[in-house]
Amino acid sequence: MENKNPLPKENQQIQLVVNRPESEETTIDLGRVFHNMKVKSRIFAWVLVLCLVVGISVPLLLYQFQKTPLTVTSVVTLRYDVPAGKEGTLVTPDGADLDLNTVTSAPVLQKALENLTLSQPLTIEMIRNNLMVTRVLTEDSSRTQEILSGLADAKDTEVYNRLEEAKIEYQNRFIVSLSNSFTPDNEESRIRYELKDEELRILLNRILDAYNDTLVRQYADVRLPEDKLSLIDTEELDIPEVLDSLNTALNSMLTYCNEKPDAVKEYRSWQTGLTLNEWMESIRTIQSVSIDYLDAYVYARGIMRDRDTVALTYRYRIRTLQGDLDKVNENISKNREILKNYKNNEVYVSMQESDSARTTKMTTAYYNKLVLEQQEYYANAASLRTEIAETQNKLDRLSGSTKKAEIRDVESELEKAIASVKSLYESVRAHMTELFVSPLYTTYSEHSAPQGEAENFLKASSKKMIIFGVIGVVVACGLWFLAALAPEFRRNHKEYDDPKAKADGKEAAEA
Amino acid sequence: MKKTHWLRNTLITLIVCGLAGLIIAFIMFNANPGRTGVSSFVEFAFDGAAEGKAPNGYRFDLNDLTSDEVLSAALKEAGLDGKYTVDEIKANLQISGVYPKNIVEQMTKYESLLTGNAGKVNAVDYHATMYSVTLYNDFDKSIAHADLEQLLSAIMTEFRTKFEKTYSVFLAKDSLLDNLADYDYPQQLELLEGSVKRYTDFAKQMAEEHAEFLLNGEGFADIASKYETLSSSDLDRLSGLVTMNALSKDQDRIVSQYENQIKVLQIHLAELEQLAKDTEYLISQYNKDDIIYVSTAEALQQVSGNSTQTYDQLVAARQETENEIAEKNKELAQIQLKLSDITGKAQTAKTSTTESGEDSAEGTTETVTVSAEEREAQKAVVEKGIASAVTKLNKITDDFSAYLKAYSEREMNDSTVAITAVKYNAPKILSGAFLKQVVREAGPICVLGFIACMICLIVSRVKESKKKA
Repeated sequence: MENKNPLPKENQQIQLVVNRPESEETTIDLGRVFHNMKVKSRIFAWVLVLCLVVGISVPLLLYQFQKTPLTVTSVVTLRYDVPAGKEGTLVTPDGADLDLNTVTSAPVLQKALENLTLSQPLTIEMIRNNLMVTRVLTEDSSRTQEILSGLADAKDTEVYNRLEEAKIEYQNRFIVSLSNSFTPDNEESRIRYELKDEELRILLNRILDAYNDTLVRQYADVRLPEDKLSLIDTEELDIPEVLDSLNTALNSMLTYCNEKPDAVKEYRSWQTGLTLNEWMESIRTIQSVSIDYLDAYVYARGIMRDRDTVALTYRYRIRTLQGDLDKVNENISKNREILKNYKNNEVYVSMQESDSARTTKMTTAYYNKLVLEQQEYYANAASLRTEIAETQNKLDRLSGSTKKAEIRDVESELEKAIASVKSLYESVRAHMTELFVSPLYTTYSEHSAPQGEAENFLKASSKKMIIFGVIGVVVACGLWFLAALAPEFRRNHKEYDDPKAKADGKEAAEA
Repeated sequence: MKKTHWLRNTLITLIVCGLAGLIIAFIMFNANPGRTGVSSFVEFAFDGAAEGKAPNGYRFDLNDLTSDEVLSAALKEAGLDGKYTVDEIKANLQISGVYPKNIVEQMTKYESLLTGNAGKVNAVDYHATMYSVTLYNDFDKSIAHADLEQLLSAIMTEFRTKFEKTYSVFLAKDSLLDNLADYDYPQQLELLEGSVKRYTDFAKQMAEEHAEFLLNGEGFADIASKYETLSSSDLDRLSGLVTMNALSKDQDRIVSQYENQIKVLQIHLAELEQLAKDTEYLISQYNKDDIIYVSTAEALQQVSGNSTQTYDQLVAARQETENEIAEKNKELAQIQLKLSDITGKAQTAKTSTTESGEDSAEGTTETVTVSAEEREAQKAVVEKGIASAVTKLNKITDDFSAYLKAYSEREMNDSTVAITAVKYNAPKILSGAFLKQVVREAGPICVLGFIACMICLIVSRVKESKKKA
């Protein structure tokens, strides 16, 4: 008999099944997925190869657009004598700080581009934007900076002060770099000009050559000795006057040679084997054995064509010199007066933790200038007095009467003296001309060959090629899996819509 | 699609893409070809080349290679002087030193104190000893291959000749001795002594710098020794004859010269001494500033003007004046001595015994009288002696020149200044540059073609599998 009132027995568990006809149960049979993957393996092997090839090719393609432009670098070393105490530092030949902006200046870049044909239309501004000049610290300065940088971590005020006051010196060399990929002056432009590697090196080479030429033009003293001989006219001038002119010419040559630096004076000519010091000795010797010797004879015998005119010339010269001397003496006495009455600054100095104070005088720049000016006036006055005394001495030596035969003898000797002096002048001139084309005067800065190599495109892209290759493989595998998975989803969807189909599917599966 | 068809189609596609890439590369290569030129190397192997110093001790460079002299001589040598100008060649000549790859790093590296290498010498002053020289044909693209090679070869040869001449050591004869007989005896001796001193100093310099050089068992030190012997024996003996006998062609003239020189020097000295006094006065009147330090809680600062600089300039000016005075005094003393010699005053010594028992000499003077014939005989001896000294001087100088020539030839010859054979460089189809261009142009095209083939294959396989399903 059926129990029509089924009541649960005591302690019996009740199972509640909620049956909602609209819900689906989605199950994916992984086994079938892998089976699908196996079926499609041949196709996806090719897809894998395709993704791998694409993955490896993309970085190579990207390299063309994103490669680091080549930078060429050169070290420039300065090769000229500098004032004592400044050796090995970045200064000009006269001891001032060297302005490195000259390397990127318009005249230098313009000179570099002269007669240079490049594959791209570059302007000076474009080149300047890609040029970089870097100074190199001396070893001592590098050490100082390293030590102070280390101490700076201590955040000590004294260390910061020392950092500020630390004397930083730079070596007599600097680095110049030129990068490829030039941007036109219009910054919004996307165009980039790239030179060939060889062109870039040639351009940097030319820039540094032009820089050297600029230094040479600015600082090399390529004056030749003054020609005080060509205007000596033995017809117009009397014998003593010719001798005076010859002496002046020799003194002028001596002054010219003496002003040269020691390195120049010690340079030995490859044509004569002599140095400028030795030429100066020759000048003094000729002055003594030729000019002074003839001078003594001329004045001792009073050998001249027109004594009165010579005497007149000397008196006039003395008068002019005396006028100059009077002017200088006036300046000296005026300056003396000013210096006597000048009031320099008075400074009060007081001691810390003390009531006492004292005053001290401090000279002003103007006062110092006056003092040095006064010393120059004294030197000028001494020089003028010397010249006056020498001319007076010549005037006093004019005496006696001359015979024509003596004049002829002296004129013949005078011609030889003039020839000797001219020969000396030509020799000194040739010596200096030889010097001016030597490295002493043509090479103020030397640079190493511009170097720089573009990274090999395979080496540069190798990492990216590996990464993208792996991504390609992962993508291919992903696609393969999805392709195997997709049919299973479609099948599940079909079976839910058509239960018969599901049953058939089940039977088919059981079969 | 059958496998064989696919393979065949892929191969065809790749070949077509490759050919297309090759054609494009060929067109682009010819549209913008590299420069054609000839190149050579010059290598310096003499002593000092690595320090940038030529055998004559001075810095050298290759500026002579582009000098007008060398280029015009080379054009003439190559038979092209009527066809091309020096300026055209100069603009197409490129010279470049050969440096190690990391030279920038080497020359500017700093070794930190924190490493163990702080004692190492870091800064390297490197000089190239090998240079590459390239002559491009931009001045005439149609110039024959052989002409271009010949021109560069001529340039290198002329450059080597010029280089060897310019950086060798050479000695010319002293032109001041050409008309020695025109001068008086003291002056002749002065000229000879000056000449000998110059040559001696030069020989000593060479001996010091190149002590190892020997020719026939003798070196530069031996040459210096010969000059010194000439000076100390022949010239000193002649000087003694001339001064002690007051020999002169025209004594009054020489006396007058010396007296005038002494007068002029005394004028100069008087003014220089006045100048020294004036400068001293300025220095004594000048009050140099005290050095003041301003102290605050944080720092100590020095406050000063430029009085030290001014003071130093005044002292330097005084020093210069005093140096000049010393020079003039020295010159004055020399001339006074020459004057006293030439006026014929001779000294005899009279010995007397002092309290200590030592001998001492007092000078007395007496005039020495010489007859005219004796004087003429003395003059003849002096003239003969001077002529002999000149001959000896010329002989030693000829030997010195020969030594210098031999030294220069040892230092500068074909092996120490070596020039390599000229090589012609033109953009060729089989050159590395062209192959690079082919890879750059054809590579992407081939890859695209391959990708296209792969896509076609995949699509066809998918269609096949769908048909089967």
